[in-house]
Amino acid sequence: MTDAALPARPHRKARRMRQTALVYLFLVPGMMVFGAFILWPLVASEWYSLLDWSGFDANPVFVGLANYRELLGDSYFWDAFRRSFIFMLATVPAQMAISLVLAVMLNDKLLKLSSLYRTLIFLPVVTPVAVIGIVMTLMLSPFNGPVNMALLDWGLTQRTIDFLGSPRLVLWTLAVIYIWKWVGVTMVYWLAALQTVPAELFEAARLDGVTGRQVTMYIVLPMIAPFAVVIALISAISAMNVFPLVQAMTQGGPFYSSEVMEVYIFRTAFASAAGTVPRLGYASAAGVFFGLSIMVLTVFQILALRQARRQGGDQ
Amino acid sequence: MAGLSLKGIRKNFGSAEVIKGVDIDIAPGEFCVFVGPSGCGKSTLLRMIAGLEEISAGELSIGGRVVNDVDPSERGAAMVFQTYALYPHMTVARNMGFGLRMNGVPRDVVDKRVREAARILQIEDLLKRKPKALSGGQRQRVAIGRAIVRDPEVFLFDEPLSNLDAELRVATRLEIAKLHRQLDGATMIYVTHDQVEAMTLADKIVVLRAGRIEQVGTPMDLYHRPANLFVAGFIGSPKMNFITVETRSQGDETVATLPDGRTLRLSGAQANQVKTLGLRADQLERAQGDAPLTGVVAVVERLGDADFAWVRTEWGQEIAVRFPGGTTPDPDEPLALRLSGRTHFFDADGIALPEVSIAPAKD
Repeated sequence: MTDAALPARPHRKARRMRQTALVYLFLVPGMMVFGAFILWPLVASEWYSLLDWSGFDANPVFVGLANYRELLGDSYFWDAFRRSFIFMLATVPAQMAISLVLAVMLNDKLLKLSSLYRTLIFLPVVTPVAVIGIVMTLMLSPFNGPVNMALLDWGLTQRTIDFLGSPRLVLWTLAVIYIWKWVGVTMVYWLAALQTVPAELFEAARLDGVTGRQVTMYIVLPMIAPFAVVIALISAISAMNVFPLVQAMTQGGPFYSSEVMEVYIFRTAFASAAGTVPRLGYASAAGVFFGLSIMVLTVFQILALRQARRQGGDQ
Repeated sequence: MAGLSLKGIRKNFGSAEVIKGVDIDIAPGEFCVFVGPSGCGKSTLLRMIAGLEEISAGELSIGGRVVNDVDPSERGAAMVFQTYALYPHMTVARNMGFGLRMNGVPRDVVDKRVREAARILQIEDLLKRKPKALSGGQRQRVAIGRAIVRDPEVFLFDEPLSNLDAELRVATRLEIAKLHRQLDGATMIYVTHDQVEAMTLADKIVVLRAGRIEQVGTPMDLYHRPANLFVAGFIGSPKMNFITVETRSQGDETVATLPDGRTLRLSGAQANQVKTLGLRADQLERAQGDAPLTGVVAVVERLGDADFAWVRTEWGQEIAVRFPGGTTPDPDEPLALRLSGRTHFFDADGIALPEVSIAPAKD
């Protein structure tokens, strides 16, 4: 037995190496895509942020942290930075609350046509942002846009409201459209969380004479609460990635009043309609700074998640 | 406590009829077990009594009151689920008192009832724990406690022991039997697929198959006087041995021929209709010399106090025979068997023929 095992050893080693090689072979395509489209830009933008470079210039000048120093005094940058967080704070809680209510309603087995409602709520999610941008711009237009017409007809306003043209309103308008577009995704997360509540608990509560609202308040919500942290994390990160929506609808206007961070970076990095000189290096510094800020936020949320898990642990 | 009456109860899921007209009367304080193979409709029937499934046709009364359209919480029934269905984020005490609290019962009353139930179930030291910190058996007690707290007319148990390991299952079975006496004979309905649970717990067993009642009776009724082949095969362990026989009339008596050509003389009305001979493992014993059955021991299962030998007959059928511990023949040993005690006879449709018996030996 032992004699037979001895000569087999190098053979087995070779086979294991072959298997390992195979694993790496399968990893190659994924790693290539990850490297080319995520890792490379990430590292490159950090390098660019140290350059005074238009992006086209053959001779970028290394300026060290000069771009970062300039950023600290750039009010457009800070406005955009602040706006991004305002947008996030405005959308995430509302989106989570609305989607939770929808999910709890749709999870009710007595509700008829629930899959139809589910589809309808999910429809904006799969609609391209550009299409939504165009349709919403038309809908909200102060010139014969149906929304303004309806508001006038119902006597809710005396004058048309320029939802996208008013610096005071534009960010909130975008926030509402954003919530409408993405509430379906958050709802699906909540629905998944609700699936973890066993059906017998509802039946036990029914036999106990517990009302539907009490079941939601005292059984369902406490049981899905640990999921809230993950959903908030995902929602917060997506709320920072609103470039397509803003670009499609306002390009950051009017008067930069809807210019969130991504739009600011885009405007600075590439020649904008305003005719400013493209500054890829400077925009990269803004991007890196913003990225680090989000990372800090994420760390806090993950810590909160761990805390929630630990509390949920003694369930 | 209250009695129950089920009259012509039916249940359809779409076009599929799963309960096909069931009539059962359960007396106040009775421990009634619904038993049958999976898919026989026993759990559905229990859920219909609880109010978790609608009743398609028929009449269900609890304590003399028709409750077909009464809300589950108003039926006076409390249910213990197979999966316990405890609220994972609540302590044991809160789990048990939750229903009462939500219905506006004052906190001190709830606390008193929870403590009382905890005392009965000996889980007082677990009241502050959450279900996750409990073993399977403890969770089961909490689930039962939650039912006791409600002080129901009827307790409903849906396979409450199937998630427990074998040892705990036996222990908890005893606990439930004790509980039934302790709660002044509360009416209990208990669903299981395990005939041992049914035999040990029940005052009355309802054997179900494919949505129909096969037989209702006390455990000993079902064991000694099964109404048909299904009940005979389902109740008792190991399963009753069935031997196919051919009958012919010979003068004023009937002769049954076993597959190997040996004969048995039968007496009693309907003896000529016998198609199947049923013998329990403990109704066969070792014989010397001429015997109605001979065979070779194939396998022996030793349990200590008793052994079961699986004897291969001359026509190749394996039949179970019970021997007192230590007297069992070894595998491959030839064996002659004679019938002792009761034998069961069934006609071509599998219906029991209780009048038939083995004719006494002639002098």
